[in-house]
Amino acid sequence: MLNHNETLVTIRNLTFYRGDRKIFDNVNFDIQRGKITAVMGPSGTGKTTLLRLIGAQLYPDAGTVEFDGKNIHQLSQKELYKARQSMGMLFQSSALFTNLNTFENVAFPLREHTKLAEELIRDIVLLKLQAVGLRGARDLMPSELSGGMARRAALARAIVLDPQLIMYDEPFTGQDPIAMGVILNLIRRLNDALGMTSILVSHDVAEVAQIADYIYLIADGKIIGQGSPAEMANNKAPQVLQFMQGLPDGVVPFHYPAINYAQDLYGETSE
Amino acid sequence: MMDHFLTIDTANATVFCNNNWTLENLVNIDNVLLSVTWPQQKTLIFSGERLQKMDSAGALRFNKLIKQLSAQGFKITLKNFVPATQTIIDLIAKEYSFPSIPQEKPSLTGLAWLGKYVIDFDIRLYSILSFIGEIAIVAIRLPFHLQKIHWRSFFSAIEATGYRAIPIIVLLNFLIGVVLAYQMGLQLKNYGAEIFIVDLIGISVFREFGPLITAIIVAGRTGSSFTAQIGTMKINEELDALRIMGVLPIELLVVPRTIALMLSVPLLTVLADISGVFGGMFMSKHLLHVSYYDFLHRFETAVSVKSFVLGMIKAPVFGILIATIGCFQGFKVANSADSVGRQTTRSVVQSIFFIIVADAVFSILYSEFGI
Repeated sequence: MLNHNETLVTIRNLTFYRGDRKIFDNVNFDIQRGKITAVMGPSGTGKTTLLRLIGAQLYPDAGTVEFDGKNIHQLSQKELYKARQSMGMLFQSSALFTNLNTFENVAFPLREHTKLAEELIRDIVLLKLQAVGLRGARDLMPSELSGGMARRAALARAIVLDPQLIMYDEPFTGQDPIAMGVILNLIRRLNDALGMTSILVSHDVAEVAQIADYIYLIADGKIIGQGSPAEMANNKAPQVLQFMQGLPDGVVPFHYPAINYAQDLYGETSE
Repeated sequence: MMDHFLTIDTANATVFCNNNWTLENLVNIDNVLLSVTWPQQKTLIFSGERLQKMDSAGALRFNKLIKQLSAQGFKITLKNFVPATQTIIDLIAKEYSFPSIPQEKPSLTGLAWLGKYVIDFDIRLYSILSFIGEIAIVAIRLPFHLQKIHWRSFFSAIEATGYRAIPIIVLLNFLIGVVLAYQMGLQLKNYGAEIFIVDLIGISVFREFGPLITAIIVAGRTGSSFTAQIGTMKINEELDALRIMGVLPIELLVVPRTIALMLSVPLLTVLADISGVFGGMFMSKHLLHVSYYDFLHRFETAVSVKSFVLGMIKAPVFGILIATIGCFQGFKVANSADSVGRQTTRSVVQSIFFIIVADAVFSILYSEFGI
């Protein structure tokens, strides 16, 4: 376990239920400063839930989430909203405000949280748009952007306040190979250039292995493997192996639990 | 018919599957199988040599047949099925015996249903109250933090809910005035009391119809759009984005809209009152031959400012109701387009419901105080 100076987010004994389903069962995570930490796992294992717990949009049933040394779930609303200003998040659906153009979307957090002069806002926004290669697209509405461009615009918005922590929720989903490469590159470059800490939630094994410094693999509410990409690739535990190599059936079953197939098909005629 | 799908060679205890055992023939195959008389021998051979095609549905039916016959004590062998068909039959046979995990959910009866209903209602009530509480907290702090009001959303809400609603409000209230004058005028005419149409129109429009019709139109026009806007933002994760940016969605989305409606509903009501009276005046002239001059002359004495004020007091209340219900239902949208539609309907129905309830409460209060 690492001490506070090295970790930005420290999660201890986290337990979280959604209804009767246990999403997290007493898990620990350490998110190191300045590094890209990937959280991987099959769909439906609560990867996005973890980000929401870190952002205190959800509250855990047990355990603590510390952000920069403070228990995020015990902050007052005012302190929480202050803390959130040092977090950025890239959503799966980009979540650009559809009634604002690209420039205004990126400028939005600045206008909300600062009293900067219009000129300065313009400079900062253009800088961030330049970083994601969309300075020319500043006047386009979100509906006019392609999927990859929308995600980059959302990324520019997420980093416009220079947050300490940026969380990526499935940044590669539904991207073509080129857009994927661009985003992959951006995540690494932004992390290194701006000295940010990144949490990357994804199930794209190959992409994550390229850029992550540390990987947590979760399934069934538990951490089933953790380590650097190289360590994970050599991990021989069957669950890790199944996920890292993409085998269809194994520890994680292909079939959702169901009643007997024969009963389902023929009802009364089952023997 | 039978030979079409199945031929039985009793002498050799062989059953031939014929033609296409496919989904489109499944009903016919089923009928055939129901009326088959199976040979006496207990060992049967099923042959696929005359079979043209078998898809997964056909294979499923075939597999069921084999199972049934096996259960009746037949010993069955398959032969001459082409490899592709044999593969699909094997696959079905394998999946068919998939291990079972029983999962029965008994349906709720009587008391259990009542209990669930009460708890659900409790949860709904709790969420409504906490939403109102949240708005109240923000609203109370507002006068001290005027810089926190999102003026842009406020003015755009005023434009959308007030300015753009003017034509329809004016037109519909004019027509309501016409209808009222027509219905009441017919009765008054019987008694030769035509001039009292002025009192009736003035008081009923000012006190009831102006505010009520306006509120109902705004509920249908604006309440629904609030729900749809916020609901779509929720599906698009925009609300989450706001929260993570450290912006309270209530501050940005609900408060400006609520204040906007609190102002625009009364303003629209003024226009509604005027056009309602004009509608009545127009109809009075044509039906009852009360001239515009006579109408306005009597209006001055017959209709007091009090009637106008009593109507106007209701308008901001209606506005707040529409805005809070519309926004609340927007936040309730779950992650599907279907849900946006459902919550939008609910928002309009509930707004109109509570507008009428509030109107009734006002009537009771007014009569209690004798005004």
